[in-house]
Amino acid sequence: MAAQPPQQNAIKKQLSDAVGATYGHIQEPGSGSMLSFGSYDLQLCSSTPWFDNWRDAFLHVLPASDHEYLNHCLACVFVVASNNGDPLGTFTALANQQVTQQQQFPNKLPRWFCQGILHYYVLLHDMVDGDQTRADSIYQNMKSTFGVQICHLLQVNSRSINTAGSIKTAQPDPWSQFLLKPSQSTDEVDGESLPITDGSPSFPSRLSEMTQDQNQTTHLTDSLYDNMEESGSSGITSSSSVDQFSHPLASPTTPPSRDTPSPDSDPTAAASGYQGDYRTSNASHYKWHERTSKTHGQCLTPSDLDRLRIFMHEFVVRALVPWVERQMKMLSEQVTSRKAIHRSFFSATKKWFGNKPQGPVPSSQNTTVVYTKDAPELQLRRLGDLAFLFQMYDFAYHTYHTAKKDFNNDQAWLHFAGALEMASLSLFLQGPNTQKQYPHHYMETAISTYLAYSRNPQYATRATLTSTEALKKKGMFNDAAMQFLKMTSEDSDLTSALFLEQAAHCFLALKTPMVRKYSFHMILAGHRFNKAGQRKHSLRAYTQALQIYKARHWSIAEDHIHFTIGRQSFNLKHLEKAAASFKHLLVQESKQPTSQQAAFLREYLFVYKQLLSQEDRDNSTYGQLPELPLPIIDSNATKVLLTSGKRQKEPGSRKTLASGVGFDSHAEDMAKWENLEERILSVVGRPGKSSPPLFTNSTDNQASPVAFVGEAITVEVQVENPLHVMLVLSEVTLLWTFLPAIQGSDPPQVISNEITTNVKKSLADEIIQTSVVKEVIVQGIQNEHIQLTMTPRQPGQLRVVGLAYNLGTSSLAQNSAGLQTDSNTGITNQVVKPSYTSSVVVRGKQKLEPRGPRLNKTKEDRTQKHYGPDRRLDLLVQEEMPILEVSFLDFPESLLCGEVQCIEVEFTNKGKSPLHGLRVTSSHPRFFTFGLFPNGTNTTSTAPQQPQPPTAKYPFVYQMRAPHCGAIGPSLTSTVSTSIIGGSGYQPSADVLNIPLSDCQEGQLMPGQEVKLPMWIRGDDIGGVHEVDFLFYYEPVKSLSTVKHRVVHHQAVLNTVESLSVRTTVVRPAASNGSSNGQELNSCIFACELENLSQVQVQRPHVQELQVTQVSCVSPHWTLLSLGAKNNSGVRLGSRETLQLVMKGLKQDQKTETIGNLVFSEVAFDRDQVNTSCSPCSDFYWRSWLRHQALTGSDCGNSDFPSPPGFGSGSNNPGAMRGKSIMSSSMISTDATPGSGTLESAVYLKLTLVFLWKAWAVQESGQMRIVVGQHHVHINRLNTVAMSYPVPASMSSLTSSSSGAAWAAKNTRPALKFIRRDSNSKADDSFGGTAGANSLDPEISTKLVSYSFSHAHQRSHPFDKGLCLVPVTLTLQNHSGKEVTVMVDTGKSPESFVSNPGTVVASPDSQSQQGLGVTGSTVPSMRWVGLTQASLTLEKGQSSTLSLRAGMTRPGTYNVNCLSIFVTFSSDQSQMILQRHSTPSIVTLVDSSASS
Amino acid sequence: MSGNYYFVIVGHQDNPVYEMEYSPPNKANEKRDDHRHLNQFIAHAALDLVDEQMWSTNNMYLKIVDKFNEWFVSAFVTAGRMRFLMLHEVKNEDGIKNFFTEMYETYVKYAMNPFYEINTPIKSSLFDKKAQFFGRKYLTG
Repeated sequence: MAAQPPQQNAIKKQLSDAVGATYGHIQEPGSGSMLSFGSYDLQLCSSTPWFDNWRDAFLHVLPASDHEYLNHCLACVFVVASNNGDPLGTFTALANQQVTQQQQFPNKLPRWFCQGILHYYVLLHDMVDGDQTRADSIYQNMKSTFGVQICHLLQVNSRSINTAGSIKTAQPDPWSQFLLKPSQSTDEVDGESLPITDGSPSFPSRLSEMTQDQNQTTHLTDSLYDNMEESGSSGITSSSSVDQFSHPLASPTTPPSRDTPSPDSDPTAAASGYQGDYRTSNASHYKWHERTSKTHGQCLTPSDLDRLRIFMHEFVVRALVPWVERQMKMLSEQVTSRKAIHRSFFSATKKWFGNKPQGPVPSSQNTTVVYTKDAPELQLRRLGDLAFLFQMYDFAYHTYHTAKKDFNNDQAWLHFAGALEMASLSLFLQGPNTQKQYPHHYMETAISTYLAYSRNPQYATRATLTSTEALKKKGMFNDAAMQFLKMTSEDSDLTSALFLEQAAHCFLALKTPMVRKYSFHMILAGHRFNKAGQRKHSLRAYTQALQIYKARHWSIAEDHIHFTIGRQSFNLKHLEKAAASFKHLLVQESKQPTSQQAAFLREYLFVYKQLLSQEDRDNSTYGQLPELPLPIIDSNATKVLLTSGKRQKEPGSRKTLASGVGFDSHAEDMAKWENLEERILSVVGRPGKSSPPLFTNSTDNQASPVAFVGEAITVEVQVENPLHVMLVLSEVTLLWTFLPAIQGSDPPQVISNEITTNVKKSLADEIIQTSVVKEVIVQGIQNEHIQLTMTPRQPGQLRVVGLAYNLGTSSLAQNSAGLQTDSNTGITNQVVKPSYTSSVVVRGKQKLEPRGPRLNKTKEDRTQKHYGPDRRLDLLVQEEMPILEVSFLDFPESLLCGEVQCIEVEFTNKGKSPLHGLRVTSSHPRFFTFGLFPNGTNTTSTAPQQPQPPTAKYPFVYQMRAPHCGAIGPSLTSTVSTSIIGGSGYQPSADVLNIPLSDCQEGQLMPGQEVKLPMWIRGDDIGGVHEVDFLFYYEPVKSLSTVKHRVVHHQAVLNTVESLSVRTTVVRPAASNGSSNGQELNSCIFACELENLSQVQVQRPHVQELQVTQVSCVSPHWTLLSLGAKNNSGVRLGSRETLQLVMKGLKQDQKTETIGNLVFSEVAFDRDQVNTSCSPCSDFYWRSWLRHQALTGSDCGNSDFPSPPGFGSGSNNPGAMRGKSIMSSSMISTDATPGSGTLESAVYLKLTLVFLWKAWAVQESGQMRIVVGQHHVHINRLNTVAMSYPVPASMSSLTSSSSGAAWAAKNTRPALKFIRRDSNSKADDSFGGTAGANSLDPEISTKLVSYSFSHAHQRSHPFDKGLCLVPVTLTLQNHSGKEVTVMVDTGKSPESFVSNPGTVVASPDSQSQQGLGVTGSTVPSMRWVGLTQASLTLEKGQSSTLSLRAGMTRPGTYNVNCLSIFVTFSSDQSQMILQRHSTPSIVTLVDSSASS
Repeated sequence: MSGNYYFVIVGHQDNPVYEMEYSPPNKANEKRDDHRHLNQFIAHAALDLVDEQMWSTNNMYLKIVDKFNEWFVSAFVTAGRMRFLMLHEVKNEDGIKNFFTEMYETYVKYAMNPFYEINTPIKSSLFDKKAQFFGRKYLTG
């Protein structure tokens, strides 16, 4: 009798358990069906059994209330066993007990329907044990005592327990459908959590069935009324076992009695009293059944079962129904009588006072109306309930309707809401028979009234449950959803979650399913489930919703879902799913703020670590590293470098190693190297290329790169961090597989280093030494390049498959930093293990799979996306090769322009086999030289006994002449002319140099051997930063592999600072009198303007003072003479000073000139004289000259080094073909085309001035340094300005004088000339070749022949004696290389042609040089006397003299240069060209007659 | 006129093409981040109602189509069935209508760019600027 409503917490727990229990059986993968809603595919479970469970549990724990009688007991069945000593007394006692309980403790459970409920007395008789006659007599007594209608003798157990065991196979357990299966009941539901529902099938099918049912309960609310039903029909205790009256609900320790006597599946059986039957027997045989292995009812024979049915039927038909009929009659009488009074009374008052508003009046206070137990309103309600219970729905509806009005009038809101609820329900249960519309607004009002006025959310919830079922049945899913949503509140998370989920399902059930609403509400439901602690359900809800949100780019929403799924999965120990979900958060393009991303990353690492350790325990992925999502690796950006990478010069060391090729090399760089290599190969004459050293995305990766044993392979991996959070990668290493190339029958085994055991790891490291990068920090939204090296130790096929690393975040890295630095270098387990435990880092890998270029060959390729193979990571490891290491000693960082320094180059063979055939080429061949050897013999690699040239340091950069400095030359011209015989050892193609390995055995560099060579370098003429590329080439002596040669790359960056600039103009000297034998005609004047360009600057290198120590002239014909006095102190130039230096050139006697020899003539301004014809001076001269040729010859300065045409034939064999023949041929052939060249040689000089200088340079550090250098001025023709600064032809070929305007004008391209070809001109004269005089440049054609006058400069003549005749010797010199005919016309002075420009070819700017003294006189006072016209022929280079006489009539000063000289070089005499000669030749005549 | 706004253009596959949030100038981003996923959820859920209501009217502007807690959802459907959604806490029918109209014009201009593929996210600073401008003009300003 101590039954109390369960405690609040206990209720909560029961409900929660009811929901939680059902999860596991339902959520199997693929259990739901796939449905398509528009573009959404949804896997869905149509049933929600956890909800049904919860509903049943909820209804069970719903406390009974006074406002309704549905839960109240109608009858009480008393059962006494037949072997009881005093059955009748016991019956009476039990009945009294019931009455006492009802009267004294009205609030205790169970509640009773009304006063005087139906008592039913059952005598239970055991057929085997009991005494039949006694039972009969007792039964007779009972009948007489209590009445026939309400007594029953129930005979059971006709079979003994022993016999029952033998035949139990035949009989099914009659209680099976009401009892829990043992497996289920033992599951986890503790005994107290009662009402595991009957195994009723899913709800809707029952609904339709039960509407016509004769059963006394309604199905819709079957759980709801279970309590009522149970207590109504089975207020039963077995008196035999228990003296105390106890109710099933109050005795939680008897599990079988917990069963709800739900309506039988067979309606007729129910009518036959099945339920009571079972309960009685149950009670009496409970203990047996407990013993007999939980099989119930084994002692019942079929007749017993029949008797049970009969008992039930008897009870219902003979006792219960008549009682109910009586009760209803009584109630309705009471109601009608009371109602009449009540009505009239109240309606009258209402009318009188008239302030009663209609409808439910909103009032804030709770209902104050308290009805007495037998108040007429309650009687009305009782009547309705009774009618409802016995399926008189129509009557019930009307009753409820009436009651509703009354309650409304009384403002008894709780009662009002209850009546409304029942009214609509009974109308609904009438089914389609009724005319009335289903009043769902009743239900809504009921719900809101429950909530608003009576503050009774539980009843509101119950009303919602029934209402929504009704609405669903009616197809009003939207309203159902709305009702569900209305009931979601802050109060109960579990209820809200369930209702939200139900609402979501309602959205799906709509005619046009609202998928997105569904997903949203599933999210909300999941959220509430989570709050309610139902993790599995939360996870399920979120997973459901994810199907909708997946891949729709609602990134933040998706992140939220993934995050929640990850969290829940983790909590539920679904680590794999959790990790996958967290992975989603990191992989996608995230819009989350930084802090959120950091949190995601931490969670991911944490979960992933747990997953890994779990898998570690399971040993499921032994030896295989998991793949990590971060950072993103751009496989295609992977670069493979086969050399050891770019090396920087170590500070403080003298040595600079060859820089090699780095990862930062671009395609242009590679093309550059390739060009250089091709240049060498063309010289060597070997086809085939070496494997490029660098493989990137832009290289052709069709073939596998070839690597060599013992040489490092560097792989650069580009990793990208998509997050804003810093990522820390530690212990980064490459993963590879290796297939050794072993000769033998056994197929080689693939070796990999993706293993975690120690032994295998070290073994793998022995095959391929793999570097480990300790720590790489990738900042947020950054790319990072990680360079990793491997050194193979065996030949074979090496494939880089991926990257292994520990992934961590920044904060954690700091914690573990100490530990990681402590650990040794290996990535063995010992190292990884502690970091696992100490910080959140996970070890994983990512694959490296570069993709080749997209194919574009076939149509399929074009229409689809096919990609070619990319083999840059499939390396072919071949046998060892020699490795050349090149290093430079004291390689300067900056030089003055033209500065020459001598440095040392060191060649070392680091490999294990000898190498030979060392060659070098450079992008700037004029930059360096290895020099010539003193004996001047060829420096081929086959000359092994060459003495090592002295490695000269300053002041021995240059080789000095024999120390004859004291013996200064006797004359003004301190000229030493050295004629260099051809064969001076110039290399034929100066761009590829053999490197003389002179002290090596047979030119081979043995392993470990080291050779030092001097090398001179000269700063470029152009100031600025220069990148000088060196390509060293060598061949292995014996090569096993296909690779026949190898190369070493070096790129030097050099800054040159401007120093000296020289501008030289060469003019023919004026016809000077008095010089002997016309030598002056074969000379020229060099006017040099030297300028020190360097400016004094603080903190920057500059030249303080510059001294020109020597000028040398290199030319086949010309020698250099000094005009000034010998000055030992030199020619000094301060900063930004200009100095003019004039020197004289003398043409060698053409007869003695040997073709092809170069003459070095030197004018020294210092004590020491440099042997210009030796290295390195001559080398640099030569290179500079070649460059000059290239610049002028090709007219555009772009191509730095085109091979001069003369070298083509000889370039194939560097050793044999060199020397003068090559020299001379080049000199001539590059000059101009033959033919015109012979004429043009009149103005061509073809000489080079070499200015050697010494400078006091101030370093950046402020230290003074004396440096030496040389500049070259290449002078091609007369009257031009030649500069030491290399300028392309379009600028340097500017002729004319040095007027600034001309400069400016000539800077533009020369104008096109259109020349009409005369029809009578020689047909064989090709236009471009030997052009006629017409087409010849007037600059040249007017200077073919020069002439000078020799005569007395002053003369006295008595003019009174008449005409003064001055003998004049005209010397004519043919400068052209061709025979010319000269016509001397004394009759015409050049200016006479001025008025007739048509005949004068020369430009009219020639000065009109007339007699200086003749002013104001139009008549020329000087006439040539005698021969007026002479014609003579001059051979090439020949000079000739003519004797002329000039006649003057008056004293004065005369210019005798007033004759015209025409030259023709063809047979056509009409093509006479006036020669220009402007210098006046003055003769002064003094009249001696005056004195006499 | 104050209150927060969340504007989204939804493409044909229910994918957001463009998103923008507006908050009144005086109370800048407070508790913003907690709400961001909720904004998306609400907007996405409202699509069902937009799809339902767009056939019942000739107007492009559908007014308030949905409500969740304190959030209203207004919608605008373009001729190309791009759906403009606006989440707002206060009713501002005219302002939102004007905003939608202006954004529609901006969107049409943007969509005419031959390099823009329809239904792909709009990534244009100019578009952002316009959206910000109209937001200030009609919504928060």
